[in-house]
Amino acid sequence: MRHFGRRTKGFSIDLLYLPALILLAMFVVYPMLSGVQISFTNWNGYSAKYKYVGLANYVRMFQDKMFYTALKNTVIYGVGSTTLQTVIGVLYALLLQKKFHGQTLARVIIYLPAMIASLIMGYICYFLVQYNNGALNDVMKLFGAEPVDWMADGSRAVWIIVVINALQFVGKTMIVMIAGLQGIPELYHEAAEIDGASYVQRLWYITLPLLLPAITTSVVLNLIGGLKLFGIILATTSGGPGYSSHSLSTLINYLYFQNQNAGYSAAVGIFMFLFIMFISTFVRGYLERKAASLE
Amino acid sequence: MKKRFRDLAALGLAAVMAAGSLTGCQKEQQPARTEAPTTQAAAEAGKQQESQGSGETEAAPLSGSLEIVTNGNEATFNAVTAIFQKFMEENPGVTIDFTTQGSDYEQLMKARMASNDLPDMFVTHGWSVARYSEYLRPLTDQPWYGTIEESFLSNIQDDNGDIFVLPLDMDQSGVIYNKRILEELDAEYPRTWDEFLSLCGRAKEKGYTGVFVAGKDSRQLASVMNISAVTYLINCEDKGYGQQLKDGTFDWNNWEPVSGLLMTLKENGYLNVDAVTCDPIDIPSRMAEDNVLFLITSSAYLISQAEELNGDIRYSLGPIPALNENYESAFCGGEREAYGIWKDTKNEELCLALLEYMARPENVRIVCEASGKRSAIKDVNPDLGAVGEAFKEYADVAIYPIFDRVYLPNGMWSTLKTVGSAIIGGEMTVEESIKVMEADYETLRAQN
Amino acid sequence: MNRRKWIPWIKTAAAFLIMALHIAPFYILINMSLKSPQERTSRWLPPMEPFFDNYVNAVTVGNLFKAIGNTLFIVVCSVVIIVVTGAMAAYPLARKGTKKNKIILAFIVGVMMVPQLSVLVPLYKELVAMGGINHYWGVVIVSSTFNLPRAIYMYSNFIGTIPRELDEAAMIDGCSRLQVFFRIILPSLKAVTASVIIWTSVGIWNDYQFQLYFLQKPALKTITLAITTFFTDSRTDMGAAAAAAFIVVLPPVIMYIALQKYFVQGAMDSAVK
Repeated sequence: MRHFGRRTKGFSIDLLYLPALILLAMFVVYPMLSGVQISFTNWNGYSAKYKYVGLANYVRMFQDKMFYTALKNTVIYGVGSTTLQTVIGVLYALLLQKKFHGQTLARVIIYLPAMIASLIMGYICYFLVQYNNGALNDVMKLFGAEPVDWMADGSRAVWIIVVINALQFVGKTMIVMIAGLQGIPELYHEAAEIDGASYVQRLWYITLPLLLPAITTSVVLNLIGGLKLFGIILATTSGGPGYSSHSLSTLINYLYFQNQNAGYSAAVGIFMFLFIMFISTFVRGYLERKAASLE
Repeated sequence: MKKRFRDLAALGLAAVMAAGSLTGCQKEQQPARTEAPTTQAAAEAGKQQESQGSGETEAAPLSGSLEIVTNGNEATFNAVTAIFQKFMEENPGVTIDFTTQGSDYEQLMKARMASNDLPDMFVTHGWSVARYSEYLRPLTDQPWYGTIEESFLSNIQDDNGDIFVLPLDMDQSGVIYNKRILEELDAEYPRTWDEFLSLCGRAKEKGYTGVFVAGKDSRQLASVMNISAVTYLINCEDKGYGQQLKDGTFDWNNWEPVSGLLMTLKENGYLNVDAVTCDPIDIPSRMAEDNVLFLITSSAYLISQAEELNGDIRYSLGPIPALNENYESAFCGGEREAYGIWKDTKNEELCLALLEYMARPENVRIVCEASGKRSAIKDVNPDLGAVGEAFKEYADVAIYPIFDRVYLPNGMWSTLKTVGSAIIGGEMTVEESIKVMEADYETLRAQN
Repeated sequence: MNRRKWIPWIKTAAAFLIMALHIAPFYILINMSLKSPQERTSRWLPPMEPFFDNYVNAVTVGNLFKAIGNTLFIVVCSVVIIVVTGAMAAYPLARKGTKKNKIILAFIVGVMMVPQLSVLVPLYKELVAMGGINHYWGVVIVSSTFNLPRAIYMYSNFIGTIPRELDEAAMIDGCSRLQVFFRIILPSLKAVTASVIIWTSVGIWNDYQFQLYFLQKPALKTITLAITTFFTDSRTDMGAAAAAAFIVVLPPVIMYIALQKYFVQGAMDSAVK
């Protein structure tokens, strides 16, 4: 063994990342490139015959009402659930940071839903928001209100999905925030308290700025997750009513598998990738600059 | 377990290769290759047995393993499974791997067509000609060809008169209606769409739902349009719409009543309140509540499912109302559980033998009775309960082919889904829906 | 001072309200799974008489135990690949900050943003050509690949915190770089490896897309696939669907409750730099 070790001394450790790179090249990069190729065709998704149509799919995309709806919704899914998750996550963290009766149990239960496939969570939530016999409407009845068909209005459905997604994964944000809070030296708070700063002032001028690095990473991750949202939409509305709650993900799925438009679907896929790339790079850059300026 | 082990070994191999060398991608193919010889060996064994047996009068014992898929519902699937089981008992050398894929079926089949990797046999769910025929072995030469109901044959024939599937039962679409509510309204089953709508109005006054739709699944709405189009456009043959749709001269303004029906139902509040959000999983339980008058559907089996939940309800199936007094009402129908053979299958002989076995009237009857659907094969006479009575009562009513499969280019089904759900979702006017239909019709015609 | 005394109790009350909100979906699910199709009472009410047939149906019709076994097998294999290749890749990337390595790390982080759906079609074609459809290794390799970037990211963040001096000292002792990796680095990665395992196994356990397209035979069915068959138009048994969903949710939940500490650590490792 030793002998072998000596012989390979000249071996560059750079080679250690080759297996990973090979896998990524084979199963991510190569399919992405063929996706680009497909986006220039009118392939229907299964036939052996297809034609190259140049940029026609991209031109169509920018004239398609359905695409714009999906794009708008994707932004709402991404930004909406990130905002909610961050705000609620910080609030939960502030509440559950210090010891009291029920603190541990609460942490466990809040994180619990994150264990579940979002598709299954979506199905469960369908039973909640369903018009007939839905659990939410039973509550409405209890208060004497008329039952509401919650998902019937597309823009409301989008926000309900945002809330479901945010509440499912808020536990992750909460834990990151608790870790962030624990990294803030007790000393700062004590000093500020002596100076007569109120709780809100301390929160605003000490806690939040120092929490910014934790917020940055969790925002970027939540944003990517929200922009890719798929399972919950599929299970609660399948993109409906009409196409009003589609995200880019569900639209791609719909176009390819139900609309025989693999070429167009691939074009939307390429757009989606670039879009997510752009947004998350931009947001990360912005938040990092902000964090740097505060230091 | 063995298979698991082999996969595990292959995985280990793949991981080692990926970790250790650049040739990983070649080696990863090994499991597929190691498997190929076994299937070939089995096929050869089968052939040998066949050639040995060819001298004798008895048929050679069949052997081989088949992959067969369907999207049939649970009851149908169990019935067909039972038939396959019997077949395997009679032919011990045969193994059949049979699955139902439910609503993912179309997606999977498309992916498999794209890669030319189809099961040995599969259900064509109404698309044996338009979509699957280039992948299927023509079956016109088969002994059971003559036993197919003549009135049904045209549904599965291509332009040359060839067929590609063995149809067991057929979809018969019409209107499920609640007998008790009709009696309460003191009304007959409606003959025209006008009567139909006025009954919806009267039902609504009494607090009932006129037409029930589970619109979370947009196929349900596409299906309503697809069914109503039969009497709005097709069985009024003197108007010539059918021919115009086929040759591309159709004036799409004539589509107005089809989209218009959905719009009327929506605007007058004849639909269930949750028409756009209800999941099909709820349909039987809602029917069981006994306050739904009509369902425009191809799924007659819903009646028996609802009856299981509430024994007191009485539903039946009626024909699609006529355009007006001058025309007839109609049903529409097409192949449902219909099996074709992949043209590149390695087990063609075995598949043909299996189809022949399935085509026996006693087997077809099992499937029909399980699915509650009419037989596509002569002299089967299944017992279909309440639906069976309806089929008898309306035995003289003509059955038209399913609208989109004959009159619209391949791919329009998804347009129907978009348009249907957009109309009741309030996102599209009737005029807009006509424009979308026309545009997609033109594109898809050019493509096909 | 009096106010101070009350604060913990207010906190407890708030915590219980929040818990009720987050547990409600599970409560509803359990109620539904125990009601017979004929019992159509509010979902908030427990069943009048528990109807266990739903669970029997879920297990027999959905073949759930087989599905759980299959999923477990896929998860274990994928996790092994992810941990080995991920840790290996992270080491040079974290240690040698050359321009090339920075580009590679940026590329890997970029891959995290690739939506699975956007490459599904070509990926499917590729796997067919390789013969990987309906074999566990196909879905294992693809699931591993898509979870690799996150693992590499977590590992390289962690390796960055191991002092370089440790490597150097070992190399002076005559260890090769490779030996340094296996003898010094790998053993010290235990904590972050636990996080990687937890993170990726939950992700793969809950995956739907890849399993749907790459495993089409019923014998290979995984849990998400088994669940969706209860929600198609071919079945209308809501009670069994709920029972199946509950059974499938149970293993990760139990694992989480048992290994809480690691899960919490995992959530932090995957996010905090």
